[in-house]
Amino acid sequence: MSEVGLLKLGLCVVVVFLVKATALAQPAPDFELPVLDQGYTLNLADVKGKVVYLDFWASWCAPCALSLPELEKLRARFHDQGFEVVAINLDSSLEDARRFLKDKNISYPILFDQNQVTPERYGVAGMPTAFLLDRQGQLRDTHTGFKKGDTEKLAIIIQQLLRDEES
Amino acid sequence: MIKKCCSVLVFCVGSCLLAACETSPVKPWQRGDLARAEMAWEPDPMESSLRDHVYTSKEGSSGGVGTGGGGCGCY
Amino acid sequence: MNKNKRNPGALAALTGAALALPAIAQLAQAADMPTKTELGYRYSDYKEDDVDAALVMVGTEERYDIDTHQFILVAPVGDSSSLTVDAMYETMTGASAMSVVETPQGDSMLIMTGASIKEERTDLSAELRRYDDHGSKAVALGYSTEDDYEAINGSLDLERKSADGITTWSGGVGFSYDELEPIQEEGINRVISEDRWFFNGYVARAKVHSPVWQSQVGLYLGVYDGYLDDPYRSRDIRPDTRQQVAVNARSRYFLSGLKAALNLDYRFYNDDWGISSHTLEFTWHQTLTDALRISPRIRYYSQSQADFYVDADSGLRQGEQSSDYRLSPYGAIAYGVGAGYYQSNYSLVLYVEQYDSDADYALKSVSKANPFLVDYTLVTVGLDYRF
Repeated sequence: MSEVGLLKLGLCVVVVFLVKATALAQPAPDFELPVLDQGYTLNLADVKGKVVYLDFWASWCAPCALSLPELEKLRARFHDQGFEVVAINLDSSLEDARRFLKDKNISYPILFDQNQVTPERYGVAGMPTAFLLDRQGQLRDTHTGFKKGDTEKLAIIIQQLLRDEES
Repeated sequence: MIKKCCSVLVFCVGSCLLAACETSPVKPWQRGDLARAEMAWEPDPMESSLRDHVYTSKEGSSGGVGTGGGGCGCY
Repeated sequence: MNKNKRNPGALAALTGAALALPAIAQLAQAADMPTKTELGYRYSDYKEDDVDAALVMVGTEERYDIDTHQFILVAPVGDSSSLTVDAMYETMTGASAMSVVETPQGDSMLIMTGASIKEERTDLSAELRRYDDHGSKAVALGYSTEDDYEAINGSLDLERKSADGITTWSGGVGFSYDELEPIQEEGINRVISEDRWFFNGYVARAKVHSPVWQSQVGLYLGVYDGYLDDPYRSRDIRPDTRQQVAVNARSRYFLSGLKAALNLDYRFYNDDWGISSHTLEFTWHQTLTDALRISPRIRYYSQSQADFYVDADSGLRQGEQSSDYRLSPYGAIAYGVGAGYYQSNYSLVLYVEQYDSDADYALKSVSKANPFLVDYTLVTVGLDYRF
């Protein structure tokens, strides 16, 4: 194997290690944000003990629009077992988010982050980005983008996380 | 010819300078306005393709395209 | 009843300067991967003003009137590809200039082709694009046909964005192969069959400068090789090759307070026939309500003449020559307005454009204006449906 090849392999190992390490070791940064049009706030402690899909989205992002009904389906399927979706909306105008949600039937909490601080703290690198949190509030997985086939892939991961916690 | 080359060069350098004078990079969640349909390079591709077709047929010049970039920048 | 002589070359003349555009010019408008299927339809009425009767020596004053139907389908294919199918059908009536002659007084006058004609053109193209985390790549193929003309074209196109999504490089290459079989008329000695190749390529860089500003600069090259004359003009001899270079820049700026997008496009063009041109286009997209947008636009164009352009035809002149107005020095101002009603699953659009060309609009003063410079009105209505 050439030197360059070895270097690449080495880099891959480091990268994989880093990804795993951050994914497994870090507690999710806490936040407290208002729930859209509900008159109360929500923080991570409120959903502690649940497997959480923390979704960063905006109304102008096409794959986000695709994801919302799919997340609603996942929530309906696993809510009884202790799964919750928490969505953080990043529209610069609350009106845009409201208009977008008007004809959608979303039952999970949608938080509004006017100062756009949380995506910075979570290191969101593209829209949409979601984080899977286990029942201890630890970051376990990152999901970027959203495609139609993702729902089933997510279902498997969610089931795994739900099972992990039970045992 | 030299004059032409110069003007092309000035244009290129100018646009690079223009591109250099900017502040902190735009965050992925700050692209709502950039993602608007009317901010696209071709807000209505069918309309611009027809107009290009007309201009190309009726004028002595053609060409000059580019795709991609800007906008939503979504995953 | 209608015994008008058919003018076979009407559409060829219409598109004479650059017959079919390679697919990259038509389809290369990729953005992010589409999440919905979209169907679009546009109907356009293109009407040229009549030629000033005082300038016509022989024939009709009536110029072209073209009806265009455009269809588009953009659909996601699987999780990471998209398909775009584009179709265009045009019918036209009208006449074109066959020759420019000089009167003994030194005025330029026109000899027009036959009388009103009817022609049609069909254009089909398809693009398959594959997306990944870093951008996309696409392949496109197209086919175009008229009574006296057939062309195929194809292109490859690549797009790469930086990890932070701020900068995007795009590039592409395209080709077109055109075959021309001018319809023969008794007493006129026309070529039987001719062809030509066209290759082009471009590279562009787009950049996001701020949450409300993005721009793009691009370099474009095109090379023609083959028969480039206009077979329907009485005397038209052009070089067998043509090399083009164009630099373009586009800026998109959003005024949040006004909810207005300011779109500015500039292109500098130069070819080895001696033509240089500047094109500047500015559109103000004003959002009125959530669903309504109105977009006034102005476009300025100015070109210099081709080296072999002649004010008037002469059977005695040897070598390269053409009196085609498209090779003459002139300028043009187009102004128009677009209006659109946008809902999440459908939209309705309307566009009107008035185009006036004049030798006086050129950046440099022109000694003698070509008498066939065009003025036209273009009206488009359209509907898009998404599901």
